[in-house]
Amino acid sequence: MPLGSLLSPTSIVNVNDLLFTAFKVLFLMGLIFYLVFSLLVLRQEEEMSSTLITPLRGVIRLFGFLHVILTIAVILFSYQYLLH
Amino acid sequence: MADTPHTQTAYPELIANTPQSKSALDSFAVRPPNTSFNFQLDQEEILLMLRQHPITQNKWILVAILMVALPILFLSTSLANTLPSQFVIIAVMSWFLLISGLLFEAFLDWFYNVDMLTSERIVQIEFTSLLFKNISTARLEKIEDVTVTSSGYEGALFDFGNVKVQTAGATDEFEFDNVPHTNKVSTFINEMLEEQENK
Repeated sequence: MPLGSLLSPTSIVNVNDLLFTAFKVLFLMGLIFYLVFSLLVLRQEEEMSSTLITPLRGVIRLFGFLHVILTIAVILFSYQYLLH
Repeated sequence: MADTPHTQTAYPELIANTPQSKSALDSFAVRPPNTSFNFQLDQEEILLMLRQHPITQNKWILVAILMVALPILFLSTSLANTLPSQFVIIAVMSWFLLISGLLFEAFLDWFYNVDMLTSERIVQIEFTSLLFKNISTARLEKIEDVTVTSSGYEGALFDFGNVKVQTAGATDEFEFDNVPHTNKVSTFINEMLEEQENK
């Protein structure tokens, strides 16, 4: 491939697209790591609420599940719009 | 003649006369209702449950406020206009998810790390990281000394500090950090010790 075509405005645009795609993949990976964190928090909450039983147990449990569900929803939404 | 409720007469004066806590979020909860722990003894009752004073958690609230403000600042810059709108929406959603997760984790850390005075012993439940817990207990007769220290100007202003309990047991020292009404805590423990000695 001639050197001139690599430096053409079209290939610069392609490099930008490539970098942006890489960024989007990394972003999605970050969200998947965050899902692991939210599952760990849910597990921790389960351990905590079985050790100390309080009237707020149900509400806290619900919030933990909501947090995981929202994380999955954001991952699905991101996957749909970032990589498709 | 009407019967005096058992809980009002079974404990020393200050404990019996202090009104029962009503909120599950109290950091100084006297005889907290519907609260127990999984290694509680049959006749054991929680007389006092302590958490760190809410004012000591202000750093989380400040961090959350700053984190909420960041997307607003970002959206007002020209960089936000160069990015695809769908990406901006996803980034903002993820950011708020992160804030909610960090706040939830901070709340759990505050809510479940408790120090307790029960009718039988003192109990400290500590969750040190995501999956590690440390439970220490000492029977009341093992308590040797109770020391109260204040926590600087904030502690003096909002009435919180540290209570150090020396024991003769395996865990030789309990430290209740940043708990409210330290003098009352100390009196509660001393009253229970006197009660124990008179038995």
